[in-house]
Amino acid sequence: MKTALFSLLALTLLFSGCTKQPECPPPPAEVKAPPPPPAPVVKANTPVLTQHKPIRITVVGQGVAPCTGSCSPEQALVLAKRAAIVDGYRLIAEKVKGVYVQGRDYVHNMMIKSSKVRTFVDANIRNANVIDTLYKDGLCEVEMEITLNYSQLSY
Amino acid sequence: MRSRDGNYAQLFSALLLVSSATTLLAATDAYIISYRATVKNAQLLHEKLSLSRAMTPCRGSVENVELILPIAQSQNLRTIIEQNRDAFFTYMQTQDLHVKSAASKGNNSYSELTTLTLPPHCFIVTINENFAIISAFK
Repeated sequence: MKTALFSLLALTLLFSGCTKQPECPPPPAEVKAPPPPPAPVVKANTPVLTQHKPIRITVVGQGVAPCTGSCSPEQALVLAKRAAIVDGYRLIAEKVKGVYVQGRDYVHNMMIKSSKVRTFVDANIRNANVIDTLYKDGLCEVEMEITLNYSQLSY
Repeated sequence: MRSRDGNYAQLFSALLLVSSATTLLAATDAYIISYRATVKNAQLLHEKLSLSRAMTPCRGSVENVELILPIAQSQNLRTIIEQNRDAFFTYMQTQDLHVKSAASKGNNSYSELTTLTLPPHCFIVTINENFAIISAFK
């Protein structure tokens, strides 16, 4: 009889003892999957090239005639226009391909001596069009555009 | 007067004469053309158009887009292009143009140098009495 009572008491202690002790670790909580990363935020006005939506990029290049007074107005216009077109190409390349920026600061005795920023552009451009030309007071402004198509991309 | 064999012989000789005259008048050559313009601080610093006859045959296919330039006096291609510079420049923009630019900003100074280059490219040029037809190789 005593043996049965002891064994019953031992079983009771065995099954109920751990729940009353404060130092027992809590039961493992349900593991939740981490939330998915947020979708990339695209600004409202950022053009995105898709298959059925070509992007048209428009720039205005500026150029001045190298000769002031020493050449005829027509010659000045031609030279300024050529410079403006080259400037327009540079702007298109900056927009389409991007710009490399390199900064260099020279510090001597805790004082900055010189600060220089250099930018580089290097690109191949095809099928850019001159839309409009404006020449006034020796300054030539050329509006240029290029259309980017999904089919023109080469990977 | 109609001959016994018909007028085919005369017609054939006339056609042969016309075609040979056309061949003699219209000369087709392959040219290598390149262009470079340098702009410094928004001013055209240097511009050069180089062209020469191709020493080796050009490979590839001819593009469908062609430039037709009227001939005023000389049949020299350089002169023709010089006289129609804007038209040629517009046509050149359909080709691959290389843009290289470097700008530098220091203490109270800003300098910018941009170079636009048409790499040497093969063009087929057909010159007849009135027009020069230029088309590029792909």
